[in-house]
Amino acid sequence: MINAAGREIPSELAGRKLKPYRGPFSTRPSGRRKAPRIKFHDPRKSKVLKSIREAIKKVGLKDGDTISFHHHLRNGDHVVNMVLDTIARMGIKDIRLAATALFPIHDKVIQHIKNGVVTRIEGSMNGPVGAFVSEGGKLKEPAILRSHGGRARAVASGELDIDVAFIAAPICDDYGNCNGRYGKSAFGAMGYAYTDTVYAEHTVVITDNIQPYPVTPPIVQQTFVDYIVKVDSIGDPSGIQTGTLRITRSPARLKIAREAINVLAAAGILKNGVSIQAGAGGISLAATKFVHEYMKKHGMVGSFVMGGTTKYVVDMLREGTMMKILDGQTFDLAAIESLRTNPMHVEINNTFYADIHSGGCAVDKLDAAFLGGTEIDINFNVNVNTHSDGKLLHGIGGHQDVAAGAGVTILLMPTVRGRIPTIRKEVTTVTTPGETVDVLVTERGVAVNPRREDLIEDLKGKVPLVDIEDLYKRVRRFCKEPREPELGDEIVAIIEYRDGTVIDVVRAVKS
Amino acid sequence: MKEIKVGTENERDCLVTVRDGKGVNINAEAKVELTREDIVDVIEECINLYDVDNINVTVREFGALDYVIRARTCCALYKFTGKKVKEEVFTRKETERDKLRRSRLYVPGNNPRLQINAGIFGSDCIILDLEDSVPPEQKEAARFLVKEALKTLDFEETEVWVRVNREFLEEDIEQVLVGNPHGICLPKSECAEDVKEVERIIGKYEKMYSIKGTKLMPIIESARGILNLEEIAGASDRIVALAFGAEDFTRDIGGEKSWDTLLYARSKLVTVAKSFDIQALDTVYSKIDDIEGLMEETRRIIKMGFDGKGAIHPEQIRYIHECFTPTEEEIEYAKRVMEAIEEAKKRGLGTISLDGRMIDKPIVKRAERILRLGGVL
Repeated sequence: MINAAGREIPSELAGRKLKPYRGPFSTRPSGRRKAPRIKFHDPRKSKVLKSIREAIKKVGLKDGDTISFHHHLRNGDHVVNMVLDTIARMGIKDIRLAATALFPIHDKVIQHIKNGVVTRIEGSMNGPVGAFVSEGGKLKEPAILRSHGGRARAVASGELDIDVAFIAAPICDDYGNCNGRYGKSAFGAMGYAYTDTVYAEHTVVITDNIQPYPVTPPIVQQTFVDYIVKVDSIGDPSGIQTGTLRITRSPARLKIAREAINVLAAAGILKNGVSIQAGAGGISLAATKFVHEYMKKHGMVGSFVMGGTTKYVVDMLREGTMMKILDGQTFDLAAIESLRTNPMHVEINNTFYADIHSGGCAVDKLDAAFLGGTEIDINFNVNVNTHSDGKLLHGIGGHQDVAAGAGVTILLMPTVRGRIPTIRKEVTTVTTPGETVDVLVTERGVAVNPRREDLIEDLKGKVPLVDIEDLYKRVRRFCKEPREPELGDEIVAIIEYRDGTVIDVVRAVKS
Repeated sequence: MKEIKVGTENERDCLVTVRDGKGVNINAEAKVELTREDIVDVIEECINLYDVDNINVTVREFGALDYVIRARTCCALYKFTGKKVKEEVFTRKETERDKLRRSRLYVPGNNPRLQINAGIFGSDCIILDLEDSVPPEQKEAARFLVKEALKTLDFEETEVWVRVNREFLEEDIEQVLVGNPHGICLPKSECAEDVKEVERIIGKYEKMYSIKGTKLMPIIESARGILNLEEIAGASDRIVALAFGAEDFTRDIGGEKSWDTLLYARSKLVTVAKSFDIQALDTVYSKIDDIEGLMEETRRIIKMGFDGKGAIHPEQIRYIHECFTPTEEEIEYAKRVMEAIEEAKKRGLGTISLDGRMIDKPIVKRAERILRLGGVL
């Protein structure tokens, strides 16, 4: 069947009936959220165990179960590898691995797929694991990729039914209260972890820092935690914090960021009370800084800034151009320090942030958002998952959620990367539907989605606009259309839309 | 065994190696495997162009566009075979003598990464440089790259020039005129003879390639050049501007770079240029991070009568333009001057006055210039 994004989707896959994507706000949920097991802890006993092996035994993990992780330790994470190695040694097989995201440091997962320990994956795959899965024939079922909001939704609804959530924490007390703010492995907000702990059958905290009760604020709460394991190190700080993220120095990328601010200013969006989604990519980082400078110059105060929190976001709060930060993921030390000390810097979880099947989520309150991507097509559909050669190399992040929620969604993208043009007739994979993407800003011009007649009217005479098809043609004069990758029939991954429908599938790449 | 290497392993570039071979062998390593066959296609085109039967071509590609691969391969094949091949000459609309040239961005001739986006920063001119930014062993490669860049890249509305080497005038011009740039910058122009020589070579290749209208911009960067400004300015009708090169000039006179050191040279250059009704363009500002310094110097040279300033970094362009942008009041006054002229013409009046002041030719000229700079005309 063909879905509303124009993609061919099978009606059934691996025994699961697929619902085709129908539009950004078309599905209405029914039924009830998942109810997890009622827990009991005998206060005369200790929750703190000696080893991961003991915890796995205690929770009764068995073949076929689903385990989850959060990815706040990013490319410095040791926990996924430690747990999988232990599971492998214990002879448990056929695991569904539901990490919110996997990074290059997790390339060991490839071994565990080969030896049958991991047979299914639900979650983002950044780098080697994605490239491996792309080859086809690796997993028992296609991987499922979801947005931040989409994953929170699936966990709450029970579609992603977690048996054991392993929560890496840089500080924890002996009852399981923990947060991401203190300790040698501190990473800041713990937004990806919370929802998993609420709905998982069992929650095990893995920490390298046990402190006296009570650890506050209890972002992950004792009421959901079954066991705690103390290890030497949960991660490598150099891979956790990115250091101070560098703003791009490329003049072309700076031009893109500047143009994005011109668009927002000309459309009258930058004003008192404005709310902005900031990104942590090189160009969005620059755009965030320019928003700050513009608002400061004009004496404006916005209501909140959300998204990956960096020094540049913190500057907005400190220098009074934003009232509050809503933080689901913290990138650098300045931002961690701000989260610890500034009550206007507020930690949020992914249900609050982006779950469409909830009483309302924060992305709905955004006036404007900066996003990136690997490709965009002339209908403004965006691909963030695969490269033009068909390889699955990135997760969705909050892309779909933010694009759907924000008043104006601005894609910041250079028109060419190496030999590959980024504007396509049709994207290799649709991650985010074009009807939720409003403006494309490139180094060679600004194109507005024709669906946004209001915006085109607002920008007329203020910002030079180009037709996206003209931009496409202009780039082809010096950068030719890449060949189509040779794809097999096997579907290696499902790209879910945030509401649980299927927006696209990823097929195996023939090597 | 003969082996030729052209290009680099830098981002956006490629390294082409050509050797003797039996039959044609092409070995390509692509950054993205998907594009490997496209790269091979480009190399095959080049081999056909040079009509070689026995050769080994190896390319390692690091995100290079087709024009870069073509330039590197053709240069290697040229060095390997010594053959000159007939190529299609690029068609480009001639530029106008008095086009705005507030900013001119210098772009190194052998660096693809800096060329690809050169056209997007809104400078009035781009100068693809074969001279000081290219080390001697890369001169040949740079010629081919600049030629292919001229034929391929999207320079939008920008005027494109090539700065050639005094020592390789003919070699440079023969190659780059295939790409039909708007003009040629002649560095170290010292006398009328220098200009006449480059004019003769341009004429020869314009004829050969059936193109016309190539403009000339002598760059004055020596004591002798300043001394001979008048004969230089009058030596060719192709000249649309005189540019000043402060670095070499300072070295030449044995001075230290300062406003005072350069004042005489600047004053003379502006005076001579204006007396020949051509533009006067000031030197580049070399401290990239010193925006305040750039703007202060630009404001001062504008007051002296200069029409433009050189830039070595794209970020400098918008600040230079900001300096050239007239104030609202200046634009208003200029508009009123033009209206007064219209009114006087209508009524058949010989003398024109505005606010009780006579409006003469220089005032009208200034008003026109302000309206152009303000984007009104």
